[in-house]
Amino acid sequence: MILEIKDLHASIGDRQILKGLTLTLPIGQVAAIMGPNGSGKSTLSKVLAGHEDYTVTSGEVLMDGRNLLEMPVDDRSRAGFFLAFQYPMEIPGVSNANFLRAALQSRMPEGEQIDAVQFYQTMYKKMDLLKMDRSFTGRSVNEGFSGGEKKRNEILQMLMLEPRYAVLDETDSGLDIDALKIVSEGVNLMRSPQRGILLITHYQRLLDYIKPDVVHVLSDGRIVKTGGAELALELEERGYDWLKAA
Amino acid sequence: MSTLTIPNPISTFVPSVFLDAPPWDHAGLPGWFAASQLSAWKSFIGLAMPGRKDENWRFANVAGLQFDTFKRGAAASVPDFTGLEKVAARVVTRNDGVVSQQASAISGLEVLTLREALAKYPAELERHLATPDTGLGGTKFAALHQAQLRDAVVVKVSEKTEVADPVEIVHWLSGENASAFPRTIILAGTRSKVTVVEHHLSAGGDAGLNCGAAQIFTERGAQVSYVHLNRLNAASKSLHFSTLRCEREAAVRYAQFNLGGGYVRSEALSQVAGEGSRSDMLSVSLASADQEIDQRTRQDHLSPRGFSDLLYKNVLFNRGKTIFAGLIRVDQGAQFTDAYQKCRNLLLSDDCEANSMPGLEINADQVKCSHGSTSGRLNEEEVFYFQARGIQRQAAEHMISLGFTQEVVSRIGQDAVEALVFSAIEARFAELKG
Repeated sequence: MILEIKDLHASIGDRQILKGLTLTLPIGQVAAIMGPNGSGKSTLSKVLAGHEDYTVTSGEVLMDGRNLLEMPVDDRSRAGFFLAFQYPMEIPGVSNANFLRAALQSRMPEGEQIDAVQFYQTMYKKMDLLKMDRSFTGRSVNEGFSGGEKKRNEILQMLMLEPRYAVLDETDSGLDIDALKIVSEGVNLMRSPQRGILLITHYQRLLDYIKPDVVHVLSDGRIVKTGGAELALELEERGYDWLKAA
Repeated sequence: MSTLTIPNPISTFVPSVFLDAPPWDHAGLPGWFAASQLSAWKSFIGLAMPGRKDENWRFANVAGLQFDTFKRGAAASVPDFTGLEKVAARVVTRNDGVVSQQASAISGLEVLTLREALAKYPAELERHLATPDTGLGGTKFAALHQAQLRDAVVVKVSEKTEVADPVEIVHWLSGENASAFPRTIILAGTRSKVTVVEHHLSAGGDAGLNCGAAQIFTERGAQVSYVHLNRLNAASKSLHFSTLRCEREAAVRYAQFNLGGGYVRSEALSQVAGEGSRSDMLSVSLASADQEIDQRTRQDHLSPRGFSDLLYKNVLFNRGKTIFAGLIRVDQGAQFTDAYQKCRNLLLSDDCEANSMPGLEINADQVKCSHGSTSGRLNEEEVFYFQARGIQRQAAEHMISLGFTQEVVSRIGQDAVEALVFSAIEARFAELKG
């Protein structure tokens, strides 16, 4: 079981951003993608999730052998793909509970309803892990949330949906140290031999709390280096320029 | 009293079906009331039909104002109806006749018929039972309403009485080409508190005319919530006139939900009349197919330190059409006024038409006022967020649109009423989507 990204080229408008990105994420692995601004980190996450602003010009992505890029956005999610958004949307008038419930309901066979009692029990348990207040369930999705609350909400959604492959797009950005710890705990709870996790980050800071098995460096739309966790520290010290030159 | 010479009407609307009106028996009723009805009838006959160029009817399909086929509704059966579980009192009418009544058991709350109210509170009724003219264009039809009035629901709350559960009024329109002229008068005493929920329903698929009015009068510090739920069938026409008078420190919340009716015209005048009074006007309208929902409002600030806020939201499907025209008017003496007005349209099709005309007229210099109107489609980024969680597009659109209306519903402020209104909106959405 593996998520395979092969020679991926993608553009937004006239701008080519991914220029032959190749990467594999075996199930059970936690990998980090690091890279400078503009290297294509967020484009990769949007392309994987299926955002229509991005055009894949060549290459392919296989999720356990299935062609991810040919699947509609909602199918990808139900098939086990998850993206934690860098900028989660605010949805006025739709409560978090209803949103999560609809997401879980979409995974049920036709004609079957999710068990409401069990749903709330599970949700409360996971909210407790993330130190989220119960009043959160009745609030509108992300509306008026602080940056930290939004990111925590993304992690809660991940905990509830239990994807096989999760991509976390700059989940650490905008978090203070306490929120970062809570979010990291949530991610660490999700570490499992049955799950692949890809952390997209600009800073090494997140990796103090979530230890990656592998670190990839993205530069100008391609993976230019892959190494162990120590690579992140090296990047922290030396920056990205030495890799660009290479 | 039962015969009247009709002058030549200056109108294209031939009120043939009402020509024998007003035929009803005024025996035992005060002379002023009979006179008021006859004079209203003359006004109705004499006033010109609204024209296309009339500013108060801008964008409106005035050709829709054809009522020639309507007649006094004959009695017919009324379906079962489930409304609120807990009420302080309930009145059910059919074509203006009371079918059932659950009287108030609360001391200080009276829910009376017109005859009862005229007998018990003649002086107050004489003051308040006039033509419910809002000054927003529909004077002719407000006069028609007054002239045709057979009954009314008068909700009287005495001083310092706080009524916890709502008073529920259910008006059925029943039978082919039936017409009804329902009237609600709320008289809220000093520091009293009451909620009135009013349903307008069609008993079947027949065309009908619902020409109603609501008048809210407050005394110092009274708090009134009036919730109007229009769920008439698509063959029906509805005209409604509301007047709200907020006296000193009083607060009136007016909420109108248009979930039905083919042609709907609603006028609401809120007078922020007493110092420190407050008016909230709320509305959700769902317009589909060939529905036209035309709402005109005015927030009239007459005293200092008043507050008013209006939030009207429209969701438009296929060929639905809405019109919103609202004016905030601040009198010269109404210093330190806070007045807000917002109309938001969610367009769910390419063929719908949303017209918004917000307006301000400020004659005082120490005021905070804002108004605005927005129209837009569903935000694709929001839809994407739902899809990225596995939720299909159709379900996502449904949830986002319902969420759009929730902001209004959540301002009603009573859980049971909010739940009732929200489920009515949900049911209408399901109908329109299905």
